[in-house]
Amino acid sequence: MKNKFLILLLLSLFLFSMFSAVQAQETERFVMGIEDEVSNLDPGETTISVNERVASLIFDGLVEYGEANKIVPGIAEDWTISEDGLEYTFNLREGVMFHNGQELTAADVEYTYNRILNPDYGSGLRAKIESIESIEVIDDYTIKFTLSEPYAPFILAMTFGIVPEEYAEEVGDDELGRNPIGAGPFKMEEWDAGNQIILSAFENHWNKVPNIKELVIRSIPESATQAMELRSGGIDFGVNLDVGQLESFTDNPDYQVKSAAGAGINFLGFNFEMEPTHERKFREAVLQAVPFDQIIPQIFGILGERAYSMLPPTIWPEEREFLKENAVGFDPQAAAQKFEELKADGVIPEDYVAQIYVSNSRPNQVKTAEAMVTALNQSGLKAEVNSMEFGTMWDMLGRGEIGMFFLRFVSDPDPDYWLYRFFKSPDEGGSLNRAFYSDEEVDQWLEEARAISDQAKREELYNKVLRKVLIEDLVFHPLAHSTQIYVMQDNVRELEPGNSLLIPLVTPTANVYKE
Amino acid sequence: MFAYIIKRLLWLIPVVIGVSLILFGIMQLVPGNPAAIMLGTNITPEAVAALNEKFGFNEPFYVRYFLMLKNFLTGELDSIYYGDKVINIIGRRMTATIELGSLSLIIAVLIAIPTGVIAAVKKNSLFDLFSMFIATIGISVPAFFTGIIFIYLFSVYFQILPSSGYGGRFWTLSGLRHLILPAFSLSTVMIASTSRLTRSSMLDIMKEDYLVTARSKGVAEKIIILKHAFRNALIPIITNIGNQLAMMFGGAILIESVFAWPGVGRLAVKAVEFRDQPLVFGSILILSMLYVVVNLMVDIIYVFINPRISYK
Repeated sequence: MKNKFLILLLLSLFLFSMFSAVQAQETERFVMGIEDEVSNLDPGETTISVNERVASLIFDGLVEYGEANKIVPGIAEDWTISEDGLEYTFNLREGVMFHNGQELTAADVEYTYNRILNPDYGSGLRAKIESIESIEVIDDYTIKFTLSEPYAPFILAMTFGIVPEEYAEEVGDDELGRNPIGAGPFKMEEWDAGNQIILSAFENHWNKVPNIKELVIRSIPESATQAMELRSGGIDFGVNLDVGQLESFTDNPDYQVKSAAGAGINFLGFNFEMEPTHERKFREAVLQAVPFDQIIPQIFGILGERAYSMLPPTIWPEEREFLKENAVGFDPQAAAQKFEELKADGVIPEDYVAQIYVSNSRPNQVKTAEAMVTALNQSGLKAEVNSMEFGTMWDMLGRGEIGMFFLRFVSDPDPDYWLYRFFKSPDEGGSLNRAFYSDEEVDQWLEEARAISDQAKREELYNKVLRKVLIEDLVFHPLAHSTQIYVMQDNVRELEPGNSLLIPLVTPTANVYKE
Repeated sequence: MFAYIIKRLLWLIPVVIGVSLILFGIMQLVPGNPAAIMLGTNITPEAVAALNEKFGFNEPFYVRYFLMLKNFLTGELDSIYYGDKVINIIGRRMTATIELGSLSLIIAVLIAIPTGVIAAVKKNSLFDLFSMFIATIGISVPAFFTGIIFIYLFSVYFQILPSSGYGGRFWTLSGLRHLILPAFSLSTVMIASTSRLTRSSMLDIMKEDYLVTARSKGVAEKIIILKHAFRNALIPIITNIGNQLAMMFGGAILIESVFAWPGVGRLAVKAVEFRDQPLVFGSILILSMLYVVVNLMVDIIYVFINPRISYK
């Protein structure tokens, strides 16, 4: 009897401890959910968005993105650009420390950029700094980059995270990616692969010591689970919730929902080397047949804003009004008539079925494609959705096997990164020119705009490009700018969505904390 | 018996060769280049060429096959996406998967077998009807849905268990707390199918003549059911459990996603998404080897349950 009582007591104690309330949140510990798993934190290899965002907390660059994506001083106190735009000289702050206690000097900066420039390393960032001709360490705190030709967006590449030369050389690339040491506001504590990463505040940071002392970054792929975690208090901050989940948070006083124009663009593209998509009349008819103005707000909801430009609202030049007014509008009768004529002329073959390719990991694009197919069928063009896994579609796009496709793109805040890659002739540097579009004038404007630094002049050139490719030639049809939505507990302060390539916990204007 | 086990284990060699050949063949047919996917929007022809060179994609396919197999066997195979040894990556994930799989198995067996036996003995009773009704629902409702309902009930509404993530090894309090919900969700389907199978298998056996004989000899009902009937009914049940266990090692991808559980299922999907050929190769090979081992274990257990079975 006595024994039974003891066992019962122990068992109830055990159960009590097991099912005690979910642990109370401490104010210095911040837990955030991200949508994917981090695989590698080497800042030279982070071309995958989640990796890039987490690495940006651990590594600091010579310059940083400030408010409205303006470039502000980082590790470099100030810099000068020569008249001809070929020489960039940076003065580094003294006493900037890496997490391992070593001082950051110009040699580390030189090492960082040379590593990315090395073709064998195969970094995707290389294309952004290819114009570097030489790097010269003038003294411990001064470094000079000389370019082979002027390249206006060059300064954006100065945001790359600086790695400590000695450590990187000692442990190698793979280990640097797993046990990163940088000079950023947070340092690596523990990495439980596929589950969570724990970072801690770096108390010797050159600028700001984070208010958050322990940062837990958890990968929670399922949007529904992220929403439940927010409700149960398991995470303080969630990003990438679906429309369905978001609605239940917007009117709830226990949570803050903040949104900002995001950097991504969803668009429809046409292949210029395939029949019949290379006919302008055909492209125009397709765009006239589909009521995009109606379906985009319905499908994207608060996660997207109807787009008329390839460039998101956060990037100059401001040309949206013109592009909106002149965009091809919904006119199903005109579309039907054009399809008839094209069929009569033999441009659209008898048995033609338009294939619209879309990545199955982008549900909103799939829905848009489905609505589009319905509209096209109504206008007399047989069409079907071909929703496939992204890797396969990407491969087919590269080989020019796809006539009509949906894509989403995100990049750094300079028009060059966007327009040059998409609209420059494919064999002349248009690395993302999946339309296989080629136009001499456009090539020339793009080339000119990257070589000058006068923003007004560049703006004029980019406006010309946008008008030409979006209105005249209908190469791409912008659908929606993705909106960045942050959902957080009501005690989180100073966390504002902005640059979607970063997690803005410690920025020039903010230092997030919990009340 | 010992010779039998050795013989069965030797079968692993042709399995590895066969699976690796098929796997490698399929990987060559699947479109998509890992370099292009990794580079994403930063793609340039030069960068793709550099990565292809770095990962050895320019070698002829037979060279790549033998290199991959050799690296796999020596544990030197490197993942492209994770920049780490495949064996380390899978090792870390396998712990989480095995913990989840084992606890679900234990829960399932503890609930399903008694339920099935009682339902069979008390055929057409209220208990029988009710438990089989629940089991039918259990089979029909997808496990991830059960998972979301569990999270809502226990994490959001009652706030007594964490909703997702891996909390550490199962013997720590945090580890166990994180393990409970996914394990119960994963076990639901298994409970449902095993209890139904136990019931039908028991019902079959209970019609046998030797049970009638036992009863007429005056053997206690408890002994008839547990010793004579249940033991003989176990064979199909064990086979079923073995199959389910092997499937669990393959990763319960939906449960892993819902509970953000870092298991091998999600890893394998990621590997395919990124066309991380070494990781796909390594993980599928290891999983197929596990499958062989689990099947062998099931066969060995047969001997202990039914002495008429022996391997010579």
